Amino acid sequence: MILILYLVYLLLPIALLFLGSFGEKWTNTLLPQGFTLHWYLEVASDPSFQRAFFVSLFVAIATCGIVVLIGLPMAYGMERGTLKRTQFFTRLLQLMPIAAPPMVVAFGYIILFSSDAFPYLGTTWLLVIGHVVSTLPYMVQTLIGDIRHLGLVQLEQAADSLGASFRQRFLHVVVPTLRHSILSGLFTVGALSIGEFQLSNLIAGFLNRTYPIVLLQSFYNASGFACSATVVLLILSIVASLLGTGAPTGTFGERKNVL
Amino acid sequence: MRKSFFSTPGGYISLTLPGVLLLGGFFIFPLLVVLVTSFIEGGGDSFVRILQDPLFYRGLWGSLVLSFSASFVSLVCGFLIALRMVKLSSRLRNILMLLISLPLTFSGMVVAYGFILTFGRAGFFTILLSYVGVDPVAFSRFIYSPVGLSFAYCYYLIPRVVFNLLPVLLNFDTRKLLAAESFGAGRIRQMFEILIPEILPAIVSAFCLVFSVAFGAYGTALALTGTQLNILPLLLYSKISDAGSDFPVAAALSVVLLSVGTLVMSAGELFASHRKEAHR
Repeated sequence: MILILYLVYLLLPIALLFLGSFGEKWTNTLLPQGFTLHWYLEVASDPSFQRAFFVSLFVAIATCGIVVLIGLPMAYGMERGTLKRTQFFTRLLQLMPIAAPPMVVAFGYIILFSSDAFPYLGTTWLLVIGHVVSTLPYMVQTLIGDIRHLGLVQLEQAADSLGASFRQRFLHVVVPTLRHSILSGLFTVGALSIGEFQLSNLIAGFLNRTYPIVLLQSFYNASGFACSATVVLLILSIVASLLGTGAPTGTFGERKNVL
Repeated sequence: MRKSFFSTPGGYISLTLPGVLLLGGFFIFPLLVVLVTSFIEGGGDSFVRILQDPLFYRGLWGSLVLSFSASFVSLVCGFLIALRMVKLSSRLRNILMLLISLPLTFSGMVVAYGFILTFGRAGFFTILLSYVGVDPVAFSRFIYSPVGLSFAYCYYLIPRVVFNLLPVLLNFDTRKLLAAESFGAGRIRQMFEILIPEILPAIVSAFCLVFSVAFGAYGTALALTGTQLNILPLLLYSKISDAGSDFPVAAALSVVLLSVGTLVMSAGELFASHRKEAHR
């Protein structure tokens, strides 16, 4: 019973967004009336949405790239090098972004990067760095969970005893073993980056506003327009998070204890 | 055997260096800058000034009400949902987890507009309620109050609670409940006297986690109410985005937000780890 109620609460807004995006007219009725695709065409031909879409795409891809380059060595180094204290550091890393609201971090950026010494506020790269900082902990956490779960240290000891160098072990044992985790972590990072609003809204410049920021402006438009603009973002996050949760390995069971 | 630098303990730690530097420079350092700004710039009286501002107290109260009701409702719902999910087959459970994890990556904007369509002034649920005689105006006034808004926050807080409690509940030894049952304890009594005390650390840490998430968030509230609602994050938002804004005061507000988040999180962590030690 509670499950069904919860699923209604969870899925009803999503269903209404989809319905609304195809509806011609929706004012003070239970459900939208008529069927049309012109809201999607209108969103697609809106120059500020076009620009925002590509900015978001660029930021998400750049974020993914940097997060994997930094996160993989970091997770690996933390697990192998700090041994007993890893638990503490991973927990700390996991809690940091929650204890410090994104808004406060963004305000720090505003003070710091509106100065004459570092006038980088409003640049796309600062946006990317902000996204990297806020998604890196998720990546590292996923990787550390799987390094333990898959017994990577033992695999490496085997390779080591056969005389493999660090480079050989890293490229031929660590990366291939973790490829599914890297991929699923990347989809999650991508989904988070695409949907990020709280930080971006404060530090993005006028010309590199990301999709969610422009989306907020559209809430004051016709509901069909706002719905289809929201559905675009919704589909991106659903696809990315479905790919991130189970699709790469094809089995959900394998990731059970990584939760 | 020849050991390369990276196979030594120091070598492993050096691999974390890029990440540590990045987080230090673009996460810790900006926070320190905010801290310094709040204490030093503007004559150092920025905290006195926010303490004299009636808006601050209204915002603090609104934030506390909103975060408390949002995390309390999420905790109760999340707990009951997780409890129910334990009894499902693992196949069904995995499918459900996939669905429940969706809101975690949703943008606050998606949640906001979905919420407007469902519970807004002309929303689906609001109109349904009006058929049974609930005044839509009164209902939407409630839904845009701090307590009402917590139903929108629950959308992405409940999944966090479920994901924190489910592993603990799955590992719970149900023989303890059977033992209590054999002594004649009813289901409610079993829950309150055996199950909840036993998993209390997880419950407290889940509560603290969602409380701090709710306390610091502003995206959904901004999309739903503009800056009309009296909560601290929106007060800070209007201070930051105003032209010619008062940085020291905004910094002092940020420090309040930051410290509440950090305090609540550490309290939860301390309680959880303390209880774990006591059980050993």
